[in-house]
Amino acid sequence: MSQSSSSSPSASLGIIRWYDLAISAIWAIIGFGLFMRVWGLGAEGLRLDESQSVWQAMHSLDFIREYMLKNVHLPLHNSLLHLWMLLFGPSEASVRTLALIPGILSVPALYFLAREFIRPRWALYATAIAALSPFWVWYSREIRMYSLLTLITIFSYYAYVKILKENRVRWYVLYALVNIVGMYTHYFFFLILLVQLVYFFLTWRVRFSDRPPGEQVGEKRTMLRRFVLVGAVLVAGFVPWLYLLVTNYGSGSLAPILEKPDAFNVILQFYEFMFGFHTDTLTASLVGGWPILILGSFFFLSKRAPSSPLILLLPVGILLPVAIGFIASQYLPLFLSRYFIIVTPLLFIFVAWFIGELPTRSRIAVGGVFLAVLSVLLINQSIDPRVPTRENYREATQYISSQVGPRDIVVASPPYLVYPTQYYYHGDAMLTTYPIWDKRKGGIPAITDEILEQDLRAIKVGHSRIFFLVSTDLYGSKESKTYLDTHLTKIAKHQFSKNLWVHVYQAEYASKASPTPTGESWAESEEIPKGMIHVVAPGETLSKITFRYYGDYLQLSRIQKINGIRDPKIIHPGDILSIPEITPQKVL
Amino acid sequence: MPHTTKTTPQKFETVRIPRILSMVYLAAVLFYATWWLDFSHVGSWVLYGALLIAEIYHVWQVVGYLYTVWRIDDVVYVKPKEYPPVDIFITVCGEPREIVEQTVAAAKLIDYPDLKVHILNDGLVAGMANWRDIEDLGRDHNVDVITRTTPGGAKAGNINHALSVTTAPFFALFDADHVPHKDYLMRTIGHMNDPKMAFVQTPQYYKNRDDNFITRGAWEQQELFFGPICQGKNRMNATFWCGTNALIRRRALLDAGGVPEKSIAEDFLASLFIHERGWKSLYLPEILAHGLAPIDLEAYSAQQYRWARGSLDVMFKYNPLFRKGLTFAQKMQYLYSAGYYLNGLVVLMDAFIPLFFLFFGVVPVDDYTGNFVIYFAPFIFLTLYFLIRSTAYTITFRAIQLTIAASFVFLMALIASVTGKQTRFKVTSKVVHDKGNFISYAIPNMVYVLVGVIGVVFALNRDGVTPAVITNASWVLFNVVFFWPFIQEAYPWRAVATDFVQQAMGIFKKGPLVSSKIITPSE
Repeated sequence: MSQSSSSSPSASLGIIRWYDLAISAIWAIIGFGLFMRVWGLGAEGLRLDESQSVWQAMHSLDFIREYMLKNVHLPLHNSLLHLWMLLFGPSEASVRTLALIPGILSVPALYFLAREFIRPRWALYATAIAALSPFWVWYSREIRMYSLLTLITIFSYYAYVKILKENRVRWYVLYALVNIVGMYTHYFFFLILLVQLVYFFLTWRVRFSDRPPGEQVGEKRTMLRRFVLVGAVLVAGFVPWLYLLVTNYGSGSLAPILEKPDAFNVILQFYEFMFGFHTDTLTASLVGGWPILILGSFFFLSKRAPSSPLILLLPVGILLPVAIGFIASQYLPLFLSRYFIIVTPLLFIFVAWFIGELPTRSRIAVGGVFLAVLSVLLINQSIDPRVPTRENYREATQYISSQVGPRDIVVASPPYLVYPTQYYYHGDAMLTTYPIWDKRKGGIPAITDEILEQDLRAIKVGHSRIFFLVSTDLYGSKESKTYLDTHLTKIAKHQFSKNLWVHVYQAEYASKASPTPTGESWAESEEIPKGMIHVVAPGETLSKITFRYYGDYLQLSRIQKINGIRDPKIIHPGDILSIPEITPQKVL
Repeated sequence: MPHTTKTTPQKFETVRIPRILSMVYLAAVLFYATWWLDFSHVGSWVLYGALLIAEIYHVWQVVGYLYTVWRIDDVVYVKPKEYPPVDIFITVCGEPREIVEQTVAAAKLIDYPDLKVHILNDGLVAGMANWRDIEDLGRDHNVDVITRTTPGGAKAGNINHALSVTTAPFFALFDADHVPHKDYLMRTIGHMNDPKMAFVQTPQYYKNRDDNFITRGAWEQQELFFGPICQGKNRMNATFWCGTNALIRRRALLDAGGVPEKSIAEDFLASLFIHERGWKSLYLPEILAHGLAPIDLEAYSAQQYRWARGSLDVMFKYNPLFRKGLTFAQKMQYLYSAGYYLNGLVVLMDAFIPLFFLFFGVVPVDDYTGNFVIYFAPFIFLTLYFLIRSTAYTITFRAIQLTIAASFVFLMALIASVTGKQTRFKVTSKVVHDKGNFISYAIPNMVYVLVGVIGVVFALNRDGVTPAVITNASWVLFNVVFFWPFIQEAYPWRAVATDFVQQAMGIFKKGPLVSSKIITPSE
């Protein structure tokens, strides 16, 4: 046999052995992963989906229930959030902590689940993957139900595996409780129940427990009876919601409109599960390296004992939901990677198992490199501002707040964007959406030329500038923006994250300044209307601008205050300044 | 793994593959094939054509394998009706006396009422130095030595000559280094009850299989061949003679014209002729003899070259498709086994395509990666899983890696076969070379690595880090990993490194060095 590579290094390192070093490294990695979940939790503004959660949760529990019925989601999470916000307030950090808690708990929970499939040291490795997983970290910091869904998924599988192995009543109780919570968390949770059902019958003849083989078929029949009982409980628990769903559905659905997935989306999804969210170029490069994955699977060929049949649950649990989701999405597109977070616990265990089954030398190399790559990608996802899922509503809205005057109007498009905008907006201007939408009345109006035309007319009236906040990746945004571009003059544009832009359009010109009581007019140049905007040209300073409009420097501080400029020396070409009209009293 | 108990002989496990797995796998293969037939993917017709041919080959081999292992039945022990005389032929051509001695001693101990051991000594006609030693050996052990005096036909000629001077109706043939077990004949002779049975083939087993990387890899390849593949051939009466460890009916062989002396793979061709004449053959998956694996790169290359050359000759000169007397299944099996040695060409075609892109920017396939991977991934993963299951978990990465690393050897065999060059029959070396230097065998592999690295650097310079560059660089890395064993085994690199480190440390020691160790690679 080949020489064991661990003999000489241990001699040179003395008491410390490589094995202990590796275990310590893994613990350090887990700590790092947990830290990355917590660090700077409130530093980024709420994203679109998050602000929707917060908005919904701000209302009464009844409202939440009604709203979720129409919104293709289940009420448990937002109801929890409602109670949470009552206790802890609505700031970014405090609301996100509700998602953080299951996100952190998922890591040790995964360890215990993994222990049911693989040996402890590889379960620990799986835990390291879970701790580092940029995908999990992202959703631990997003105030939506996905981190809770992950935790419940882990519990559900845990109870299920324990049932298969031990068939004791306590596991059935846990299983029922957990699944009720799960069913009310996300519709895709049902795919997990389906996986468990399929696996149960696939392994009908397989013995998982240590009981003698003779009892085995009888045992399976007992299990089936008990599962049916639990199933009845679950159905009973879900029927109230189903009833509400059936009686209310169809009254203005707010379901998201998504695109039909193709094969590439499936691959991308798995890359997101493993590596998280990155800029398009980085993701494309990662995807380009797929032959390395094929190579890795070749390393798997080595002499081994056949695997335990429980391992089969992993590919079934990973592939079946994705396959079903993919096929169903050809008719009703619902193929978002976060919906399939339910497969990620099994996916991480599978990867850990796979690496653990490689021949010894490959195992260490591949295992180490993989964790290193994950760490780097986690850091990149956390830091890189160009990551496409990063949505900077806070800065965009604050910019708008600082720029608008009372005669402007802020327009969010598509209308969903009103949620994050409302959360942050504190400006003087009115806020509306395009197309115009009253949330409480029903769904977002469909985009037609008539609607665009009549809504724009309504928006323009009585306003000088339109501050158009748009997210270009969402349905309907392109049409809205194109319509404005072709019918209005654009004054400025500013990008805040990959798809989030603020465009400023001229709505109407204000009437000329009314003559002062002395009959004299003010400005050096009559042609420039006052009480309007000024776009900073290169080389201009605030004092120059002030002088240009008012003939002196007295108004500088007022201009500064109105435009929210902290330091008068810092203005940039392209900045839009609001130049207020001077009221007659201020005339010398 | 061969199953050992105290009472039953070691045997290869009868592999049973769940029918549903076979069907799912077949579906995945066909699914994969459909991607290639959609010609909207073509980037460059020439390169696409090359890849297409390569994939057709792969699919053919894979389907052939699937067809072979589709159903494997147990080989049941048959009690012999009678015990006819059997000659034991041990072919010797320059092997060291110690090795032959073991074989001879074991042959004498075979449990059988009527056997005679003959040493077929080709040392004289082949110009080997120790031919007289072999004669002495025969005398010492009181066995017959047939020293050939008229040359011609190499091993085939040797056997034919021996057949002309012996009379037993059956003979068991062993290479000089394959030591038969006591129960060899008792386990095999029963199958000769069937008057149409021409030969019974038993597997080769390498006693030295754990010696080094190459012996291990070589053995693992044999596990695949003597495991599911040969077992599968049984039901199609397509087992071919593997040159050693076989019990043969003299009349059948003579009926087919004796051992063909024109081919370097005389065993493979002889079985073809025997099958044409309507005889039957059987593979008995019991380990009844043990031999030696090639122990270094030179020995391994020589062995693979010989097998490749012989099989490809059969395919070109005696193409089974056009020969009468074989059943359809037999034709397919002969083609499939001979065609295996085309894999060198195919691997190299696949390996050069990414280089084309790296140097010239020419893409064979115009398709965003995702779509291809959806078709390819199930195919490749199921292939690996199917291999694992069908070989009862004995297949290893090393076995496949070694095959692919030998691609250049196979390519040379192909070229030689097509051009009809004559090759001298080289005896597979069983002697350990001290501090072997086989770099010459690894040169093509090293060249590929070098060219690959240059190509990647060049492409990065030209295009930057684009997905296309990364994918092609990944493929180059993929190939390098597979080509690596030849480079690794070409030279005692590790010894060089350790010696260097020791020398460097020695420089820092106080006092003069007592001796300086310099490695001189011996030829």
